[in-house]
Amino acid sequence: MQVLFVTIGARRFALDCAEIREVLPVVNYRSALTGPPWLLGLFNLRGALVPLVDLPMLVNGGSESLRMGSRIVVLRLEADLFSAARFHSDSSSFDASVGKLVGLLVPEITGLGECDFTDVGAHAGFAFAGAPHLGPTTVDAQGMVQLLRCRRILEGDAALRELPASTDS
Amino acid sequence: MSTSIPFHRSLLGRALIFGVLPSVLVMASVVTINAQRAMSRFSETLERDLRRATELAAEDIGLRNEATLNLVRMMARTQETGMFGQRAQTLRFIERTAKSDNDIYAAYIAYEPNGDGQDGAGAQPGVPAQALGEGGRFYPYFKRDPKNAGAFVLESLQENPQDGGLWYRVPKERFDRSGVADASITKPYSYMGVDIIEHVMPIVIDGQFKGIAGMDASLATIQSRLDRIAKELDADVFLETRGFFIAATSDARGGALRNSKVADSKMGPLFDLASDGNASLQQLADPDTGEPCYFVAVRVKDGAWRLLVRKPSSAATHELWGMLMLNFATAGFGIVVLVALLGGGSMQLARRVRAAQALAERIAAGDLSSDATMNSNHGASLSGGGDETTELTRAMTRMNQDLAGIVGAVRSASTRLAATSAQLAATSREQEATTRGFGGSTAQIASAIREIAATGTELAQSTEAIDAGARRTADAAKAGRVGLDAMAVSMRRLDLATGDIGEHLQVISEKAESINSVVETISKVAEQTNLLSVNAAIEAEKAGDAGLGFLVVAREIRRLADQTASASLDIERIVHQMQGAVSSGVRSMAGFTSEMRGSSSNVQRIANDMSGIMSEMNAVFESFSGVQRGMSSQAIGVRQIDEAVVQVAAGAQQTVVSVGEFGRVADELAHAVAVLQDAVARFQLDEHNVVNSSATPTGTGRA
Repeated sequence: MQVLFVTIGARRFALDCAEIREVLPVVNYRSALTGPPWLLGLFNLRGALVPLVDLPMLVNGGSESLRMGSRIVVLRLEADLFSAARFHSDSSSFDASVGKLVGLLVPEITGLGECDFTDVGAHAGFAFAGAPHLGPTTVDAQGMVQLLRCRRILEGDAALRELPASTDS
Repeated sequence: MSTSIPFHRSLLGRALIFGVLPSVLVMASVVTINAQRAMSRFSETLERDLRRATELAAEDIGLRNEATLNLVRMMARTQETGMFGQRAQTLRFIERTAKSDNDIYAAYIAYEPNGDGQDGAGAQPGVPAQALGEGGRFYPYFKRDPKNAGAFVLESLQENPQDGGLWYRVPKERFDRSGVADASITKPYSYMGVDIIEHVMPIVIDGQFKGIAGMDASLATIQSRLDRIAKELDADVFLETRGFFIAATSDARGGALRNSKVADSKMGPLFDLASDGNASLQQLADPDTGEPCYFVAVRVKDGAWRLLVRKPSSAATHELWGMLMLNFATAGFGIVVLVALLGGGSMQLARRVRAAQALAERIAAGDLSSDATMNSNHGASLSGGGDETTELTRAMTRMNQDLAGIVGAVRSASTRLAATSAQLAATSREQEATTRGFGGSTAQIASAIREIAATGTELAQSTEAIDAGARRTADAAKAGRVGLDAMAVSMRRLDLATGDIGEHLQVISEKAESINSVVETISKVAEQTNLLSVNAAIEAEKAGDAGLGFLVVAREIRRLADQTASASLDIERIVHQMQGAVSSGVRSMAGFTSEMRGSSSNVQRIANDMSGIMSEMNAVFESFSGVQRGMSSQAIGVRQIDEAVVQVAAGAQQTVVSVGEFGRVADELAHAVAVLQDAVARFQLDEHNVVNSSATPTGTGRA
């Protein structure tokens, strides 16, 4: 499968290209007043306002400083998880496609490559509850790399519970 | 040989004329002026005091009368207001009133005949028979008891046979005439042998005359008061009313004048001087004795009485004379003392002047022996005193001694002159021989001088050589100076060139900055390209197998972008190095420029030093010129000496002739000395004068 290699802390992770809509340089964003610590706020994506999530904070609970290789990775979710309109019956006035986008602030993108997590050498991952986003781990020329299922992070029940009833938007 | 001088021209006479006479005049005028001033001031004071005292006395008498009149008025008023007819009570009242005043002689009340309708009652308790007059009329009279001064005796009033009770009739008639009841004082008259004046007041009830109340004052009492006043004033006092004397204190006649007519004496016109209030004073001759007296007259307040005071002028001026006599005595004593002091002083002065005169006469006679001076009978006055005459005597003595010294010196000097003239003659002969030897010496001197001239010429040549060397040195210094100036110009050019280089380096630095910004743009483009390739790869992945070819292209683009980024990083690093090199170049250039400027100023300084050296060289040239000039003038001097020596030789020849002349003059000198010795022999001298003078010959010059 085609993946995007990212580094969080000292660990290498891989994001499935199929989940990614596009990669952007770091832009200015408007900070959120409330919400979980990993929710940074909203940024302007060609006229549409999209929530921005701090990926290191979401994955291992610690924030990282920005550098040259820092990027925003835009995902398309199955449902509009973040908008307050989601909690109301009338959601017809919102562009559903825009509402399902989310930006992940990634400290460093190291490259783009082919990686197979299903071969014999791969480890399927530990079967503990509460970490559905951590996929299997394999090894390549640069070392070990673990698949990060970003959709699951955000779509999982645990993540949903942490979201507030209403956000800044 | 003292000649007799007239007294008025002698010292004593002059001292008396110029010292004593003016003093006497001054004192006399002072005493006279003082006396005049004292006289006028004294008489003014006297008149003022006398006038004032008289006024006071008149006021005193007036007050006394007023007091008595008031008592009388009170008695009448009490009768009118209810006591009339109360005879016993009235008697007690009269006696009490009389006792209240010590100066009163008697007090009484007289009713009209049967005025109260009680005449028929006669004597009754409290009203003795002595209080009643004829027909039982109320007629009481309290008079002072002659035996007991503090008590009064009661008797009946009497009417004089001559006038029939004038004291009663007069006030009654006056009331009937005028209808006004007022108190009055009568003129003095004799009542029952006593001289009195009477203060009387009619008693009037409902416009009806009912009687009188009265009080008597004896003239003797008034007389005693006037005596007191006279004693205070040291003068005679006269008191008059209506042409009668009330009392007077004039010597023995004081008592006799009492109750006598003024017209009988000559005092009448004097009373007319009196006016109200102020006393008037006149200095007149006494009408009786013709003695000059002060008369002061004043009207007593009552109006009808007049007071006259007489004071003899002689008594007043007596005191003044005493004071003047004291002044004269003081002045006389002062003059006597002045005469004694001046006379004594000038006699002593005259004695000393005579002594000095005697000494001067002896000196004139040629007697210079010190015995004559020291043994003079006025030697004592030299030690004492200290005034100008003493100095004069001392000066005379000193002059005598100095003269003796001079004469002695002259005498011994003439002796030595004689010896010296003999020596001179011998010496002149020796000199003649010496001068002949002198001619040989001058030839030797001339040859020595020629040698000196040769040496001077050599020295001049040496200095010229030195001068030439110094000139060459100066030329070299000048050339060095020119070279230094050229070097300074080159330095300045170099300075400008380094400035240019610095500017060029600055331009290079700016260009490098521009390159940096271009590289930055390239980096940004590379990054964008990189991102674009990632997104392209993701899109290609999504396209599945159809996107495989596109994926390869995307990877290639990404590789190119990475290469561009690394190349731009290299460029950036190289440009940074270049900038560092340029800035260090600029710094080195700045340091070089400052060093260059320092060198330039050093060169300038060296050039200035060179100029200083050259100017000093010029000074050296000046000095050498001076030396050369000195050398040539020395050569001239030597020639002149040479000529002079020749002249000296000629002079020596002439000297031989002159010395012979000199011998002849010495002989003449010896002759003159003999004449001088004869002249000095006239003076008599002590032995020590001669010895001293010969021992210290220079002393004669000082004397």
